[in-house]
Amino acid sequence: MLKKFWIGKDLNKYFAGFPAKANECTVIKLSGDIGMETRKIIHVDMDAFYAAVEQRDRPELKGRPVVVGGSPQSRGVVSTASYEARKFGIHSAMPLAEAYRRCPSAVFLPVDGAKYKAVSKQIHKIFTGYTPLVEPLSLDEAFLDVSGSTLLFGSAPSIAREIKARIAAELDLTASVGVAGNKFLAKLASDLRKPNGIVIVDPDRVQEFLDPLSVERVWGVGIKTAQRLHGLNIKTVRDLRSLEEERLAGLFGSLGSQLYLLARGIDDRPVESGREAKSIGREITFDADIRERQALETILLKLAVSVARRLRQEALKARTVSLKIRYHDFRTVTRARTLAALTDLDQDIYQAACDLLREISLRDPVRLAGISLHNLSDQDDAQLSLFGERSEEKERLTRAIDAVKDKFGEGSITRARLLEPKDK
Amino acid sequence: MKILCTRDNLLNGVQMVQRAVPSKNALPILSGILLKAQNNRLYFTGTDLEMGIFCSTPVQVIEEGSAVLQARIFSDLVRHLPDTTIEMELIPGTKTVSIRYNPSETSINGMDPEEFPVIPELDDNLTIRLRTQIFKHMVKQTAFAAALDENRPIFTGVLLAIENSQLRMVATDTHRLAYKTGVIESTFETAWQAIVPAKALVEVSRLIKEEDESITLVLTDNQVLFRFGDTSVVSRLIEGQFPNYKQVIPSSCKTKLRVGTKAFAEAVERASLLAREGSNIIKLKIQDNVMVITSNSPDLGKSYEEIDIENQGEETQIAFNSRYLSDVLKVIETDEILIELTGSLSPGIIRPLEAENYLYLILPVRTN
Repeated sequence: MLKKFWIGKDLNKYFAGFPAKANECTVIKLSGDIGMETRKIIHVDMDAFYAAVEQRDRPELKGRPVVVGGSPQSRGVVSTASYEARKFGIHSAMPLAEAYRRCPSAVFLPVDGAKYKAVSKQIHKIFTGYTPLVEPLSLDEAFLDVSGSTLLFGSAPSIAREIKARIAAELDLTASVGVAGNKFLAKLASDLRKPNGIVIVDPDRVQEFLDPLSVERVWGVGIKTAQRLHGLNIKTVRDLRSLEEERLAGLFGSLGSQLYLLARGIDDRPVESGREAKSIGREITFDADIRERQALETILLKLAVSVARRLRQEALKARTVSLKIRYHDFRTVTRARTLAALTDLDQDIYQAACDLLREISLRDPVRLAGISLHNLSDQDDAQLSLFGERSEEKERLTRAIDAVKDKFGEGSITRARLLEPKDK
Repeated sequence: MKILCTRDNLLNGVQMVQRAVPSKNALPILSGILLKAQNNRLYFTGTDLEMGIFCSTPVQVIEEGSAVLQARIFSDLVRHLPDTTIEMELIPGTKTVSIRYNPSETSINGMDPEEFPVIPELDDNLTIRLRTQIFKHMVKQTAFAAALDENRPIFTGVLLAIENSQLRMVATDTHRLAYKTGVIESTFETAWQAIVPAKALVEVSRLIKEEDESITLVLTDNQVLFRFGDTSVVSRLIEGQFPNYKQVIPSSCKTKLRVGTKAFAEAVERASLLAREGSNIIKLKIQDNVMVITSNSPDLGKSYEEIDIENQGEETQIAFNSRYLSDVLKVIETDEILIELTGSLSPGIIRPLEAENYLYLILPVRTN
């Protein structure tokens, strides 16, 4: 074992000494070996990816605030802001008009998806030179499992450094990298020292790494969960760790059990490479147990609309729909159905889920329902039908609804059945 | 109930009606076979409430009566009974049936026959009769095209329609459609139609024996009964309106070709091995006197098949789900088939050569 630094409470003080210069790795921690027994996961996150690609290709933009998203007169939102633009308080998802107000001198550019996709492919190629286990999360982010690569390419940190260096040398872009024993920690690590950072989490010091972080950093904790945790005076991971598993499960259902594990740095999710392993799913734990079929069907509709939307955003179609039902006593059943044809339509997925629900006993109250989609494919081949249920019309309607949501936000248009009483 | 019979008497009956006994069910009584001794016959009944099978066999009835025995255990026992005279007796005051084959006996705990669902007798008002060979053939060439997916129940059935004193069977899962006509023996003037679960038709076909020459269909508003030999099968009908199938069958085409059934079927099978998993897409290219079949799986490899054809009209190409092709090629019995195509987005039609009474329509896959 080489000397070990640890990353702990006085994180910021520790980081403060490291200048972040372009094209220069800011190595926070040097450790030759992160333990034989653990997996070795690298999370690579490109810095201000879209904006950085534009700045690279148009050198006159270097050093200037660049906002990718579209014209400031449009009603769209910021896709990516360069670090120079971020100094003006511009961030992703901010309305472009607001970004313009904050920095009228910024360069506003449209989103050139094809270009970013091509660059993303080049980055992916660098990754697969080190391991076949690459799970892209989006165009600018990926997990790599290099557990089996260390004999060939050296330790995980040295692979991480090499990848960073190659992205810089070959593509003239910077990435922030996290190295840890699982996906959760690796992703947290890559985020700590952006841009152009590298953070290595020592498996022996995981708790010291995690404890001081705020609960918002924990995977699965959104605004609502964070608010409830704050209400319980839970602010940091250390506070979260003081709660017992039963308590957390009682408060947050399956998310609670997940938080219990994550607070201890435990995350067994594998790095899933390739399309076959990929699935899209969502589940909801109810505020109160439900036993009425109608109410459950409404929740299935909500889930179906949500997973189908994500499916379409990924430009995928699914062949298999699976339904998960958890009863009040945590007994869990899942049922799956493979459809005759690929689909990305809310209605098809909802229909399949309702059919599956009919195969499941509702004698006991249900605390959670989930829909997941498997056998995903990016094929666009369409089996034509007789006596069609007007699938072309449904596709057109779906596209129109998506366009409204893209422009005005997810809540802008919904099915009447999904309106909640407070919306009335 | 007390009877004398042979192992074969029991075996035949049990094997027939067992096909209707559901393998899993919410209602325990349905896991049983109803036995009824009457008029020197033993009547067997099994049902899953969707379909019921009845059959009977001559036995010596000493005392009339009925009993219900678990289908699984009873059939397993019957299969292993010795070839000797068998006495079956319902022990008075119990539900237990004693099955004696000297000097041994097995007693099976039964269920209450009163609980067994009563399957209503059907009026013999509307009946049609046809040769079992014709019936079996019609089912074989159509039922496979019905949908398995219960989403749209109508498509899990086969349309049975009488028109011009002919019986028609039509089945479709919306991606392909099979249409077959057959001659009926009885004259039948009324136009009539019903949607029968494909499963029931396949079951009836399977139960028909060599020696059963004709089959009678008894029709009512919500049930249909098939009677052949000593066996009857009653099935519920599927409610709803079958779509207008005539409207989707094109009356003309731009490309017409004639190909050997076996050569085509074998080429399709080979090409389907290399078709992309899940979608099973194979592409057909019709050129002058030759058809090229190709498939391509990014993981496995690719396939190129070339077969001789006789063709008229435009050269064209079209992509199909190979399963829809191989399904029909398995049930066509002529040596050659005719294929009619109109571009790559219109349905293709397959007919046996010189057989007017069968048509199979298959929708293409739109590829990019």
